Amino acid sequence: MKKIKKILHSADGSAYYFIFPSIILLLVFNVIPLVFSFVLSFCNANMTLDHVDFAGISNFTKAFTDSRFLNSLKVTALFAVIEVPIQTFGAMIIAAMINKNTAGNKFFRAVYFLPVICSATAIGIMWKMILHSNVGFFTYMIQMAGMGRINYFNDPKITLFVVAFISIWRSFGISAIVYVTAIQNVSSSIYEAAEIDGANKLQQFINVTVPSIRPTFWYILMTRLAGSLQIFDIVYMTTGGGPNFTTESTVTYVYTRAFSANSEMGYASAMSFVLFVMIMIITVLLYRRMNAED
Amino acid sequence: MKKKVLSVLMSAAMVMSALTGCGSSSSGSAANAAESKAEEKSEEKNEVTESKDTEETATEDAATEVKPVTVKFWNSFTGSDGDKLVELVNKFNDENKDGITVEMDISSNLDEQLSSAFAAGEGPALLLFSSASRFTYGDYMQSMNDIFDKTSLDKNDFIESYVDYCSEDGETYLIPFQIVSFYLYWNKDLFEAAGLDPEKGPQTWDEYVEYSKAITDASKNIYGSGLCYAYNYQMAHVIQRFGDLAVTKDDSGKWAANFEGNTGYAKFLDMYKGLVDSGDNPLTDDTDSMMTAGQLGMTINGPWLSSGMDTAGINYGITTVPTGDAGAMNSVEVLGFSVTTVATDEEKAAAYKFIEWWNTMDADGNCPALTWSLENGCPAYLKSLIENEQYQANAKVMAMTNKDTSVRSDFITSSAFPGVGQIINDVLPQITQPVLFDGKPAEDVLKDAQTLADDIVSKYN
Amino acid sequence: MKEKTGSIAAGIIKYFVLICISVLVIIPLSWLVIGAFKTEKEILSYPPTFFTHSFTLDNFEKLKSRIDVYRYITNSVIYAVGTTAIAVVVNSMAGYAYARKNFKGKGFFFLFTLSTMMVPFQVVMVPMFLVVYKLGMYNTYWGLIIPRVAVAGSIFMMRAAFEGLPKELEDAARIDGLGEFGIFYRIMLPQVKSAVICLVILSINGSWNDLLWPMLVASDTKMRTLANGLALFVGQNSIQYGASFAGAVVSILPMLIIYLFGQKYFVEGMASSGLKS
Repeated sequence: MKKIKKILHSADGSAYYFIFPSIILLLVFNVIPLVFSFVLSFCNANMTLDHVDFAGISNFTKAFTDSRFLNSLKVTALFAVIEVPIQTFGAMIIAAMINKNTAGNKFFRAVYFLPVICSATAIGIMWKMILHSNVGFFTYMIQMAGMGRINYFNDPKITLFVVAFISIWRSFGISAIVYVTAIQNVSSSIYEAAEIDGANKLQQFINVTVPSIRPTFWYILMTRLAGSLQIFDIVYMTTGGGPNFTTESTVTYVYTRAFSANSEMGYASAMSFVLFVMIMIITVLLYRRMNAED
Repeated sequence: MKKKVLSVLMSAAMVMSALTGCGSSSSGSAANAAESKAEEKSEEKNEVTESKDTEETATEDAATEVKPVTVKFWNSFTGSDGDKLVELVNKFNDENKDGITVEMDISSNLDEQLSSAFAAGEGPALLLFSSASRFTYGDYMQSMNDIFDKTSLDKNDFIESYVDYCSEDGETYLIPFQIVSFYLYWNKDLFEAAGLDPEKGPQTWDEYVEYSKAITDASKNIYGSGLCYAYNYQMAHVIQRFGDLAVTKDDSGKWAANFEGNTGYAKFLDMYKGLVDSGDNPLTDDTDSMMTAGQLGMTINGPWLSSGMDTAGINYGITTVPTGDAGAMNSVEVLGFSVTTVATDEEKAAAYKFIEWWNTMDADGNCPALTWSLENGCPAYLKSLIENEQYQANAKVMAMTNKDTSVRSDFITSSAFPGVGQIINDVLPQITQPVLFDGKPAEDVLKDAQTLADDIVSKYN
Repeated sequence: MKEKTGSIAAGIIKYFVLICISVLVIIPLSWLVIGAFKTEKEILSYPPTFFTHSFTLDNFEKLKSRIDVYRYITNSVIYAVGTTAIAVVVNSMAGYAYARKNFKGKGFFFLFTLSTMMVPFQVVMVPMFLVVYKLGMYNTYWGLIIPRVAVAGSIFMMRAAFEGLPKELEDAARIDGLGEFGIFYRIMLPQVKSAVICLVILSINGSWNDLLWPMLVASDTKMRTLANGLALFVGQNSIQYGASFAGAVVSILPMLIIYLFGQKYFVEGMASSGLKS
């Protein structure tokens, strides 16, 4: 008893007090539901959960023969490949351009953050109308500019890029502002030292800024990766997975299976577990890499 | 998008209802959640019991005295049509001499409210919902066969196919209230510009294609035909005109899917693909906006499209969806009144009186069913109303009415097939989109669809 | 000389990029806001217009007559402020511990926290709702707020912020005899003020625009949030673009005011951290 008390009172041991509330809340409201849905993935169950039968691993075997699920994994991976680099590196470069507190930079920061405060409903209805294949404002302007009429939401070749664009449009402001905060926290004495060594702006960025904001880089990379592998609301509000399922992400498909007229909760849980395991593996690998750097 | 948002809400409501039902039954004790709601309910219940007590003593004293009854009536008409419903219900409460009070509750979360109430052995005596609701709440719905004996309503006055739609194995579970169907809308100005008769919409699908080609004007970004691959309900309403129902009972009485080798469906797919390829049908997931913007010659949609076109000032005509190879038919969903198992005999009798009143012409020639039909632009389900002068004078509802009242009414599957939602949402997109986007032959696509549909059908056999 | 032309060219490219992005942000949003003042007919006219020829306030009146805007805004405010206030405390405490303490099981707890970030919400929302229901928090503000407080992403963000601080700060405070909570609250937390402001804005924003969770937990009409109310509006069979745009504008406005207020702190937070020099 005394020993435990001593640990809790030590500088490092007090950490348990600090993490206690978050751990309890995450346990009750995230992990218990997660375990529940894990159990469900071995059952056949409908949405009302009043008919639950044990189904063994049949849901998992079904998933890997379901072409729509496999397609959704491909779509999700492609989406992440488009979105994550732009969010992590693009936003970093933009942040480096606007980190000084000049009036102009403050203006740019304010503008870039604007989409972040809009709801998915608002963004969805806005882009759907602006990029409408026929009566859309942008569609019309692009056509007037002589670039032809582009069918943004109904061309299987480009619609995923349009969805990725809207997703980036909506959230790159967060990434940029988080980077700006991190860059501003880098001690200016390091820059001064670099300047004395004769480093130019670009060299300063690569040799001073980038290494100094590494924790933030990892934060952006991992949250954006997790976020883009779970892309749902933008797809839902714009294309609904179409055309021809080229934008149907895994979570969109899982959601359809779970909450459509004939809900297959068990199957939906199984598919989301496959996704979860994949995200987990990627995260653990990244986490190791991150710790190795530290 | 609207359909999607709606489905999010509906599924959320369903999830809700499911859980509320599950939770309260398993916990046994009064659900600590929604405490105030529960209290409210029990208070109401007490009142009802008290009034019942007084009623009983009253009847003993004087048998002729009227018994006051309260009928709880739930529905989900949250739109502007709900205001009209309130008005009519109030009228009934004022007018009826049987001491009946219809206590209406309009809710946007009807599903959730219902299952928690049913699980607690409470709930409304009278309900208004879609005939497909019986696949969810069938256990709580009373057979209403006796309404034609106990009231002055004449079963023969109801269009038979609509009553059939609400019946299963000879038991009628809903009395029709509103017929929801899809119609062909055409833009009269664009017809005129193309040299077509602006007063006459296409009667056949050949005419539809012909008119589409005449109307399309690429230089003005105008298209003749407005078929929309992402609008599953539109696809369902149209495709059954070509190849009839997707799921029916076979000779052995089992459900069977009819996709593979369905030449009617193949014909539709080829027509749609042809119109897209020739540039007469836009490749778009949203035809409503184009129709409202005056950029589209024809489209097929529900009665709600007209209000948008009215505000936009579009000069349009309405007609029934052209008949195809599958012959004359209505493609409808029927909303109707249902008396629940919660209702006592008195409440059931009172609910019947209300339904009777709704469908009966008064001395001044007013009938709530008629008012409702004219105000909301939905066709009548009573033969006598179709003959009515006021009804005949309303060009819009007349255009929506199938003159042949003997024609059958279905929607994409036999009305008793519980998996209808899956056929619409999971199978139909899998036949239209591969044809449009991958250029797959219709026959192959229908073969794949058969596999999908067989899987769904097998769950209900 | 050569270097100077180089930096001028770089400056031109820089501003070109920055301005292009700004245009991409401002044009669609302005189109939306102006659209809220257009008639339905003009919104759906071809060719499409940018500025309105038909200024009207009808869309806002239609919105007000159909949904209880004030009630929904109140609920949204309670949800957003409640969640944020508790979230800041819980998440920054956890982030602080993961960044600055070495304790047994740190790796495990941190991965445990991170793993919750990997689970699609759509998958756990039903069991999550069941938990809330069983705890008797259904249709209450607590039911809305408590489950959404602890967020792995926020803990991760605060951890990143705390990691950047020099060790000397802590040591000096410890010598001064401050307790562990004192060090955290009085010394360390003020150092990451900008990150806290960031967290506040993201949290308020997240709950303000949250759609699915309030729809599940607060089904009572009186408990509905603004995002929900709008979705109901957009979800009707015949979508009314004008009123939907008006609704979108109404939902963005309060966030915009908070943001413009917070924007100041993005800058100040850094200046007052004492780290710059």
